[in-house]
Amino acid sequence: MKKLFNFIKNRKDDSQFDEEQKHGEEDKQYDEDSTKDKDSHSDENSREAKLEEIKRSQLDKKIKKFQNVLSQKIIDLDQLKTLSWNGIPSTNASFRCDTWRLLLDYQPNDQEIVSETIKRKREEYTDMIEHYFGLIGFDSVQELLSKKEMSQYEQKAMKQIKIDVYRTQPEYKIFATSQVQVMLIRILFSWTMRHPASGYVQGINDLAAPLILVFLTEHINHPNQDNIYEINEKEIEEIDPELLIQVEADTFWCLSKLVDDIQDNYTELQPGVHKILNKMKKLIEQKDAEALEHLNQLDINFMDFAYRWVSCYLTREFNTIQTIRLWDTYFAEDEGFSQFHCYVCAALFLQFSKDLKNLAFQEAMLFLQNLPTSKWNDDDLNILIAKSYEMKQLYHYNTHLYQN
Amino acid sequence: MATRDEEVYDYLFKVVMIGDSGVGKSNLLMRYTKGDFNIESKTTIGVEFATKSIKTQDKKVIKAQIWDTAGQERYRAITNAYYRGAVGALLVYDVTSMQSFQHVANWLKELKQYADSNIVILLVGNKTDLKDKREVKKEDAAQYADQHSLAFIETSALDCSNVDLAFDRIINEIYKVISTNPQEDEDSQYSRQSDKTKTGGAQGDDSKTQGSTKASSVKQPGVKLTQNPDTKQSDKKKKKSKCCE
Repeated sequence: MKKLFNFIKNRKDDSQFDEEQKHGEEDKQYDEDSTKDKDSHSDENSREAKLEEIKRSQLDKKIKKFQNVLSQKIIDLDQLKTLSWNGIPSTNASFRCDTWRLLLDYQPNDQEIVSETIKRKREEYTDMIEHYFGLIGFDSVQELLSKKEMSQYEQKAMKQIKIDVYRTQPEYKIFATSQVQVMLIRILFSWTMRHPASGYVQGINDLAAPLILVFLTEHINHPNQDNIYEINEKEIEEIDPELLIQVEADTFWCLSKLVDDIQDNYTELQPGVHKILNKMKKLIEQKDAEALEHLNQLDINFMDFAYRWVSCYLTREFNTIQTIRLWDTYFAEDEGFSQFHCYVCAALFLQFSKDLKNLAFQEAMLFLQNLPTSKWNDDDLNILIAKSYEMKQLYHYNTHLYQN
Repeated sequence: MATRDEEVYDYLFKVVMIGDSGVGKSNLLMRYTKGDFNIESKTTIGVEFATKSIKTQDKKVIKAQIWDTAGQERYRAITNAYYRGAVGALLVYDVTSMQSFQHVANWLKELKQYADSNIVILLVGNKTDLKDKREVKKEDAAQYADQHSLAFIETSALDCSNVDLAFDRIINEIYKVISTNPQEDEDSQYSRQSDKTKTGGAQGDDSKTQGSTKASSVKQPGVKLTQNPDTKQSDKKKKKSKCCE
């Protein structure tokens, strides 16, 4: 529970407190209205400025902590996990890039061997795509595909990958650049060739996208990862191809590590997804039996709406900034993607179960497939994560709960 | 229990959209239900749900609940559970992809295996706006449809052509089937139920869908096509009971 308490304490210290103060101030201002308009305005301004300052100093502290841990000769991964669990500062691109690579066990925590190890892995990747595609370039997807004669199996995989790459993260213009599309195609195709048991399954592209985006920020001039939406095509075109191939290699290896833990989400009949859906249902039965009963009455199955939540790791329910923040916690958890994710999905459902109880079948289906999460701020997401953690603490070792 | 679904309708039809990945199923549905084409649409994972009501010539209101399915083969085991209880299927191919047309036969096989035998099928050739890239001739598809007793139409979700017509057509086809077939017994497809329940069902217990036992776990096997008896009397219509069972 320590983490949760710390977390709640932290929240109390900063954001929530800020919010309360802000709301209080707004109400007061509304009540007293015009007479004190000027006063309350200036009052609020100074208060807001103060709160801003507190937030900034807290962020500074967090940045220092990350700097300290990441500069250790042998990085203390437990310490890094504790720090990352509450979110990695977006201000320094290298924090998140290093932390994700470290927590995915791709980058070694012994600084002395980092560059050598990573270099070797990147070379290994380059050799691999050379083998699959011949020469390496980022010119155009057409050119990439014309370079290789493919077996029937390869053709089939490539066809699906190509269709999906064109519609991965379409809200970002940079995903329409030949650079990013070529990268994504090569990553997914190489991954597919190395994982014949599952092959490429739709949804894996959604997992690769946040990794590419995060690793690209290391080579962009305005590296604050909260401004990820602002990266434009020109900035991508200006990145040295040598660096692009590094981003591509890192994404490939990190995606491989990530999916290793959840491979049975993608194998025939997708047993991993079903396992999580069942567990989710049992958690909800414990926490809100009435909501579950309502779903049963409407004849709505978890499969009808939560399938995508589970298999795309909420990349469709949240925007990329939110996804990246959520994944900070997933990477910091020991079994973030294979276990903790289930609690997050359950908590997400419970967040809205009250709204659901008044809905008939059609409305409920539409609601569940289009959750109003786009308006969520950091605090909403932090609360969701805290609730998920609380549930994990309560039920994780309660194994009889999950036995079918 | 209070429900906000106050829509009045006479019939409730469950329709599925199937076909290869990337042929434009989701965009057809979006164009039809929201009047929108999203060039930025993402892949469908699992199934997506949408609904629309239309009026027939004899002024009956039909509400269509449409399930849009993921096209990739790996998702077949999940999506074919949604065929059960469907009274109509839009089988979509891409006129610029011969392969997607060749796969129509596989999709028909799927329907034969998992859907009810009298399901109404509309073959839809989408993307007619891409004139230069066309690979499937209209005549060939029409002939194929004829041979297999399918209704047939060509559409473009992008330039809007025939989209409404396609959906209206399948709904009317289904309606025609009902009106020409007199009501059968309770177990038949012409059952009625309130808005509260969905027609037919996807798989029952999620746990059962992992294996091939899917079909046996289907709830409400008899409920597919719904007629609401109390036309235009919305208060009576809000009965909660699944009258058909």
